[in-house]
This record gives sequence, structure tokens and C-alpha cells, in this order.
Amino acid sequence: MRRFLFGFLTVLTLFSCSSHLFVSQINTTSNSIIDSSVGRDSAIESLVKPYRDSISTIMNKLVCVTATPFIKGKPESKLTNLVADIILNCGIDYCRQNKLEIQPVASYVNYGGLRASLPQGEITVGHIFELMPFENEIVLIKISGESIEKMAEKVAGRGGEGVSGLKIGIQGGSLKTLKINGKDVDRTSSYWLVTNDYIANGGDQMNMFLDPLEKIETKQKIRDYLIQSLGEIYKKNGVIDVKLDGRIYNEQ
Amino acid sequence: MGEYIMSNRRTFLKQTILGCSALSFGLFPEELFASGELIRLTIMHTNDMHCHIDPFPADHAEYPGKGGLVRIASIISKTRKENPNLLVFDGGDMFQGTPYFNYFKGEIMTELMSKIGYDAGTIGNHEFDNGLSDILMAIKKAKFPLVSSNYDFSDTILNGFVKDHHIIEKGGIKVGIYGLGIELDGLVGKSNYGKTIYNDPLQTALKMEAVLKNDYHCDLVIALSHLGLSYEHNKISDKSLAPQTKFTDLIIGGHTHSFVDKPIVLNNALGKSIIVNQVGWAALEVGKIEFILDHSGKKKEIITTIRNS
Repeated sequence: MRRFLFGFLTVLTLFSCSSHLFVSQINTTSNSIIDSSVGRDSAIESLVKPYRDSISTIMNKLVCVTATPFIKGKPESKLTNLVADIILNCGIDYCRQNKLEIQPVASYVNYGGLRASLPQGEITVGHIFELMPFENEIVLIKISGESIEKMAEKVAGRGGEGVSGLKIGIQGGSLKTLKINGKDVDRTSSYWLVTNDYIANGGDQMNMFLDPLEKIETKQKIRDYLIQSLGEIYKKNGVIDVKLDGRIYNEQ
Repeated sequence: MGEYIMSNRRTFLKQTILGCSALSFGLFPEELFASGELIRLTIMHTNDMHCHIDPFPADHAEYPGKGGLVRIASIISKTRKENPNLLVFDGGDMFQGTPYFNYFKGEIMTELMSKIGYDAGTIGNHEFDNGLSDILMAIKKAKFPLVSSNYDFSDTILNGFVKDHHIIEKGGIKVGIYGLGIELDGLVGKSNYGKTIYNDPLQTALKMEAVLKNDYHCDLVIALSHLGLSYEHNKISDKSLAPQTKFTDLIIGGHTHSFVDKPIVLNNALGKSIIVNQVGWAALEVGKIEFILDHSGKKKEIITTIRNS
């Protein structure tokens, strides 16, 4: 009986021992950088190929040619300015085509919404997809001057974003100067602003856009408009470049 | 019977001493792995791949010719040959970022990741970009589960399709996995997440790690997190969560697109080591962490980072 008990206890001990594992060592490795020295996996490559081939024709289509790289930056940058200007134009175009007696005066592009920079040289549809992968649409909102001010405060607090029609001076992370179309903002007046549906629905903490006085959903995809618009600008004016115009600047 | 026990005991003692001396040098003789005394588990992980299946184009302004899941696949396959005890995880935001997503939706990612042999993933904010139906389609295409413990999908079409925890037995090691998603309000359009309920990540993590450790007796507990590595303001992140946990061994992160060079070692609430890692975005990097487990219960020992050339 004692022998049995001893054996039983030992089996228990052995069992509990073997059922638990403990970490005795952790080997961390510096994160591997994936560059051209890493080959492609042939099985995955053959799985991807039919997908890739079916979209490559569309993606390789030329949109325009740029004079310099358009890299996004703060407080302003060629890329944020270009996209904000095009989006404002889209709003203006929409109103004209639909014979609306509305004049959008400003636009706002969320910095995080621009997902890639544009290289110098030939820009293809694929590049625009990388810049603007989202299926976002253009939305026009009529908001108070007070809301314009709140938006500018957010932009200033973030060190700059994409705007058009506005001049924003930042001091110590706060809004110092604000002009709309070269004039002071009238807090009690209202303005038409062009942005995207994600932002108009309060995305990126832009709560001041949530209850606009009026709202027009154009159903116009931003990416499609960018492709169309950049193509037209290139056809009309040749190689695309923009100058930084100090629309967002840091004040001393 | 008695003799049998004694012989076992002698072997046990001998191996323990061997284990101790090996530990003090920080190296284990290969025989210990061969005899099953020690088990080596390799974890590889990605996050925020954003459909970067192919490398960036050669003329890309920031990452010319770099990255690509097609390349990560070959590293994973090579590592698997070196050690079949390999688990592969993803920290969310597989979707959105290249035309593959616009034309073939999120399911192209879960199809490829299944072929590569991913073991589990979690749900990032961009997984919601085409609404819940796209997540459902991607899950149906996947041969691995999406794990999310703090999103409650009960009142949505995803009810029953997303796991709140997942347990994998690999090479005799029981690995428990839970998933943490970021607050959706203000980040994802309301119409895209519908009736998904966001629960507090910290409370969820503490509950899940205890369940996996104490109820399911997992040897290793891993969090797949899309909370973000750290923030300047007081927002829950992997770095603020890790010191409050007790049983989580590894947090595989995402969302902030952070390049950290090497995995970060922190102390948890019990003073034990917890690893936090994140590998940027766009399949530009892949992470690798190796756990060596044994039966002795020796204190955790962290070995210096192995440098990749």
C-alpha cells in the first residue's frame, strides 16, 4: 500500500512536471528588413500572378509627369497643397455643373488620408491608388465661421495638414492667424467647405464638421477626380509642379 | 517499480544540472532539443501590411523596391525548414493600401496568408474599410482565425466568425492567443462598424491572459494587438498595457506603423519579462522571436539580440 501510494505520488509529480513548460530563454532578433536581397516565394508568386496581371494594364496607365517628387510634410508641402487645391476645384466644378448657387471657398484634406508620396517623373494610375487608396467621396458642407476656426485650431495643433483657400499661422502649436480668401473669418457667418465623407462624418476627431448647416454628398470619388484632374492639368500646362505659398506657416 | 522511480530521479537530477550549467552560459547543447528536454518555438509576425503583396515600385520616393508579402513568404518558408515549431501571426490592418484591395477586397490577403501558413491574425481599424461584409468574406477565405477579444460582434453579421481567444498546440507547447482592437469611434465610420461594441482593452487583456494561463494552462500567452506602440497622450497602447499584465509573454503590435529595430523587453506587473514588438508597415519588415521552454521552471533569461546583417 505504501509502495503504491509512493508510486502514485511520483506519477502525479512527474505528470504535473511534464504538463507544464516554462520559458527559460528568449532569443529576440532584430527585425528583418525586406529588400531586394530577399527572394520571392514561388508558390505565393504563382498565386498572385493572375491577380496582378488583371490589374497591371490599368495601373500602368500614364496620368501625368511631375517636375519634382511630391512628398507630404508639415506645416505645408507640395503634396498636401496640390491635393487640397484639386479637391477645392472639384467642389467648385460640381456646383457649376449642377448649377448650384454655391461657391465653396476652402477645402480640408486630412494628413493621414494621403498614404504615399508621388515620385518625380511619370505618374501612373497605380501611383494615385497608392496616394489615395480609400474609396472616399467628395462632400460639401456649409459650416459657421466658428467651425472654420475650430478646424484651423485642430490643423494648427497638428502642426499643419492639407488646406486650400485658407492661411493659417501657427505659434507654439496654437492657432495665431487665420484668413479665409485673404479676409478675417466672420464667426457668425457661414462658409462652404470641401472635404471627404470620412472627415464630414467626424473622422480624425473633426467633430466640428458633424452637424453642418447644410451638406451635399457629391458621390464623386476623390481618386477618380485626382486622376482626371491631374491628367487635364498635364495636358494643358505640361509637367506638373507647384510652389509652396506659405498657406500654413510657423510664426515667431 | 522502486528501481524504475530511482532511475528516473537520477536522470531528472542529471538533466537539471545540465540544464543549469547550460543556462549559466546562455547556450543550450543541441542534444537537449533532440531529447525533448528543451523545446524551441519560433514566432514570426507582421502588421499593417496594407495589401503590400508586391514590393514598392523601383521609383518609390521613400521605399524604392522594398517590402512585399511575396518576399516575407520566402523568409517564413526558410525559417519553417530550420524549425518546424514555427507560428506566424499578424497584428492587423492587412487590408487597404494597394489596388489589390480596390479590385479584390480583403479576401486576397487572407487567401495568400493562408497559403503562407499564418496561424492567427487580429482585426485592425482598416479591416472595416469596406464594412463588416468584407471582413466576413475574408474570414471565410482564411484557413486561420481572426482573434479579437475586446470587439463584441454579437449583434453583427460577424457573430460566431471572430474568436475571442485561440489556443494552438505546437511541438508540445500550448500557446494561448488573444486579440486587442483600437477604439473605433472617430477612427472608423459608424456605418462601417455598425453594432460592433468596443470594450476596454486593458480589462479585456487582464481577463483573457488569466483565462488562458489559469483555466486553459497555456505555456505561452500572446496578445495580437492593434492598439499602437505608444502615444504622447494618455491613450492605451502596447507599451502602457504591457507593465500591467501578469501572464502575457509577447505583444505583437500594429497600427502606429512603428519601426523599432528590435523587440522591446519590458517588465510586467509580476516583474517578469514581456516582449513588445512591431514591424513598421507595408510588409517592409518581419519580426522573429524565439522562445525556449523546458520543464524546470527556471527564471526567464533574456539573451542578447541576434543581429541580422
